[in-house]
Amino acid sequence: MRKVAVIGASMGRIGRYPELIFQDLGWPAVKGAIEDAGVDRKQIEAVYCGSAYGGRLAGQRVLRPLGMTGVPVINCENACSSGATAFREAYLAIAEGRHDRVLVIGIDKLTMLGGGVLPGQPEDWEVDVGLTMPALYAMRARRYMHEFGLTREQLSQVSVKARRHGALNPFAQYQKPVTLEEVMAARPVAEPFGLLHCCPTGDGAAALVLCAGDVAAQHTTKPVWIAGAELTSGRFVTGYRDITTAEITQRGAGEIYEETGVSPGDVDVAEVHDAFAIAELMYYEALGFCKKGEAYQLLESGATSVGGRIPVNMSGGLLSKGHPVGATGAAQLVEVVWQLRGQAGARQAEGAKVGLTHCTGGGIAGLDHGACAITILNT
Amino acid sequence: MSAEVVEPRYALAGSIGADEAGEPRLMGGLCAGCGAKVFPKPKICSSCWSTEQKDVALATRGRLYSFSVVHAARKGWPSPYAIAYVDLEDGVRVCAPLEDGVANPPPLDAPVELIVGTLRTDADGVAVLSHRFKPVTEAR
Repeated sequence: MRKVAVIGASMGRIGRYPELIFQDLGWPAVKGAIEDAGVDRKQIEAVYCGSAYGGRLAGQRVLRPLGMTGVPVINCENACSSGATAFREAYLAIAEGRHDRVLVIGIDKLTMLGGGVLPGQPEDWEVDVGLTMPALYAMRARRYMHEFGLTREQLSQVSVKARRHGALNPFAQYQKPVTLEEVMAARPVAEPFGLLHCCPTGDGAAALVLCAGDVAAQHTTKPVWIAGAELTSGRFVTGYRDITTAEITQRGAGEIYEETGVSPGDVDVAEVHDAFAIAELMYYEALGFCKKGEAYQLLESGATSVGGRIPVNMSGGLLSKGHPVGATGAAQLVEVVWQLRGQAGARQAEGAKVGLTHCTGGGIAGLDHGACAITILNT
Repeated sequence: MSAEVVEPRYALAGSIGADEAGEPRLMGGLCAGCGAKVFPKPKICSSCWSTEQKDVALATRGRLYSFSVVHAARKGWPSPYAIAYVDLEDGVRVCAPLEDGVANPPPLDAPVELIVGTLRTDADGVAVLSHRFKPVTEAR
């Protein structure tokens, strides 16, 4: 396996852009990543594009206005992990020697879907009796609260922290801090969740340029290295299942820590998939940042906040930065690349050398989640 | 004008049966290959790949594993409603609406039992029925 570097990263501010057509949401991020990488667009040998709701030929539609079609375009759908799946496939294509310079895109335009909760998985026997994504996470939250004594006030502190970080991020959909009282009093979505315990729907695009280690020096003096990129899918369980444990994340984390030799204690900065407030706490535990049942203590200690031992979701996370589903994995990677280069502005984790991104999702009955992608980057 | 019998519509085809006394039962699959009991009945066993799956009436009682009161529902669904995971006594977990869960939310792990009721009204104005669970009020 060859070494692979990230040499370009770009994204636009996540938000609601109903007036933009899909291609115009996407190409500015691609142009930004190409310029950031210092490559000529003609040097890009293949493109991997992740999108969950973009429909057919998402990548070609984004590339067309830039005159960048004519190379293999591989469109990847893996629900919330689509962008991260595209990144992982691009990484492997270079590591295995198929290409030297590859572009990754993550994009979704959720305002195309109207408003409200996202449509559920078709032909799903849980969705067909009324399960929604917020309700699935809400059931995890209620069970977690029951088993570990977490209170709704404590749960709400996750959202307060997310919005505090997001207020420092010019690329975040929400850039206004919120108080505990505002989180507690927001209108109910799926109890115990109110609106501020749930990520917003929005539109966004992010792009990265990856290259083989032996050509990285032609383009940059500050490559960010890919230590490993893990992808797995949820195991199908037909009986009782502990929904307070993020099975797919725990298993994926174990695999990437073993593959890379990185341990949870080595991680300086992390972006995790906080689609709903309980998720961030469950992922602290599944990623090994703390023991089972101790996630709130880790949050309360300040360890996962700006200036803490292991800052999590410095971007504001999905709760504040936003969650344009298929774009999310790529946007997390852009954030961590900026963090490792020291380019994250007011939300910079000082001296970060090892970064982790974690993306999971896709409601599918019997599986913890459909897909989970975890990536470890270092300088 | 001719009268027409409207057959009940179920959210999940084949999921509701009845026992000898005519009481509704939730139907799952029993694998002839390995004995796995699964809801809903699959066409193939994910463990042993046997395609011989028999209809089996699942336990009518279980415990409430978790639930949520849903306010932001999908289009066409009346809200709020309560949705739950119920762990049946025979080892099967089922997702189902929780009867009266909005007004009288029970504690987790409370014993619950099967009923059949209206889930929603479909685009034709016909009631769609499904399995539901309600807290057990009397001892067995």
